[in-house]
Amino acid sequence: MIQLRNALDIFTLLMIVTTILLLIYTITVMLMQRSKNKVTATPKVVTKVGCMQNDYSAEREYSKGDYVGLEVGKCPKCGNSLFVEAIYTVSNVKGKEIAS
Amino acid sequence: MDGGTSSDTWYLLLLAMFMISFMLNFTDIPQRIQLWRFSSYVRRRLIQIDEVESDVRRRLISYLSKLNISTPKEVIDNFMNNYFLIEPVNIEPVDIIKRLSHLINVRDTNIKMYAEKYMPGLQKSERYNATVALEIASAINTVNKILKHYFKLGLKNNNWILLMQLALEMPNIIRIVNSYSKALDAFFSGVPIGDGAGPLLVRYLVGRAEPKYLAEDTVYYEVVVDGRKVYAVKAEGPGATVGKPGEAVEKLVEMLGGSVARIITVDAALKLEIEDTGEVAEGVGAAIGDIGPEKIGIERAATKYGIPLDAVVIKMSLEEAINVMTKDVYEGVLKALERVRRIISNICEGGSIIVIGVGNTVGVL
Repeated sequence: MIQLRNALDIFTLLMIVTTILLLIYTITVMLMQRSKNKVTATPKVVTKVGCMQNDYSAEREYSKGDYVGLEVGKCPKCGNSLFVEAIYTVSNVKGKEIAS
Repeated sequence: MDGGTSSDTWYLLLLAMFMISFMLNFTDIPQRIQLWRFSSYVRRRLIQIDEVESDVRRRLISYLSKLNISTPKEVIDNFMNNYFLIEPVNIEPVDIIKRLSHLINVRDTNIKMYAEKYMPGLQKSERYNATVALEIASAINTVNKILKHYFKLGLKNNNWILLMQLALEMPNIIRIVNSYSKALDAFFSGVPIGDGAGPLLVRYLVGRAEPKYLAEDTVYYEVVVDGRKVYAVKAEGPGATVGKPGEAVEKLVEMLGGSVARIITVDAALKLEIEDTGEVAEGVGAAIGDIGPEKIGIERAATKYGIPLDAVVIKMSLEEAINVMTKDVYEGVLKALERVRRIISNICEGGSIIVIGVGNTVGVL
């Protein structure tokens, strides 16, 4: 009787442990999958403008129609032409999606 | 009685294990299970790609409508599946570059004619951007069709290995498809992409110099840097085009009678996983990701006159290469510019140098 109880106990215990391990594994995989599927923030697009004389440069939000080499006004320091120097995204900053 | 129940349990357990072992080793059941597992995984991913394709199509229709194109759906449908290129015979390699170049030129001309016919009244840069957007949509459609072909083939032949290969490649393919889809925004807005690192460097090198026509969609600038004459070549911006850098360099070298001290090519290069974006590396050869004609054009021009050929590359991932330029890539361009200036300063004063900014010049004048 004691032997039978022991045998059944070990078997039952094994089943319980296996079930718990399987449950833990399934939950872990589901959680990992969920964290992978997280939507990343849209990076912010900025336009860097600069003066021909290299005495002024500033970053501003990208506006439709900007391209590198575009004349965008006069330099606030020397009055020479101000051009778009670069357009790039800044990572890890949540911003608006560029207009299509 | 109790002892009998215990041995019965163990007997049943052993029998079950034996049956399971027999089924796993001597039947097709495991393969059927694998087939079911992988096919359901691939099916889910194909639905995901279908959604991306539909989204791309929707955004493209909206973009073309904003450009006042009356039949955007027709423009997209007529472009898809067409304009493929059959590579020339390669078991006879004689003049293969000439034949390939001819076929590429014919394809380009056909696409330009199509764009002019269906998108009249647009500025050149807008038309070029729209054409590249159509090419992206077409590429996603082709990838989707090929994947579905292999998926159906795997199911038809119960080929679980084919489905397993598909399933294993799916995350990577989806990553690429998603980055192509995101790349549309850059071409819709006409902003510089990572691949435009080369043309951007040329823009910084030449300042406000006036461009001169050299080859189709390709211009050159003549500037003096530290007492050395620099001929800088890039595609004509700000529309999305890569121009014909090979043909341009061949023409330019002939124009200068071969008296060129150095040819420097600058291009974006795919980084290894352990490398950082914006890393700059220097080497020898033609830095250009071309299937043949343009690259060989640069190599031939350099070899004919014994001109040293340098390569400066800016490292980035595929996603960064086809999407809006990141700040890391931009900083890489500035570093590469310093390298190019250093190479130029090593040439004797009065010497002539050709600098070629290879890549798509979208968003860069």
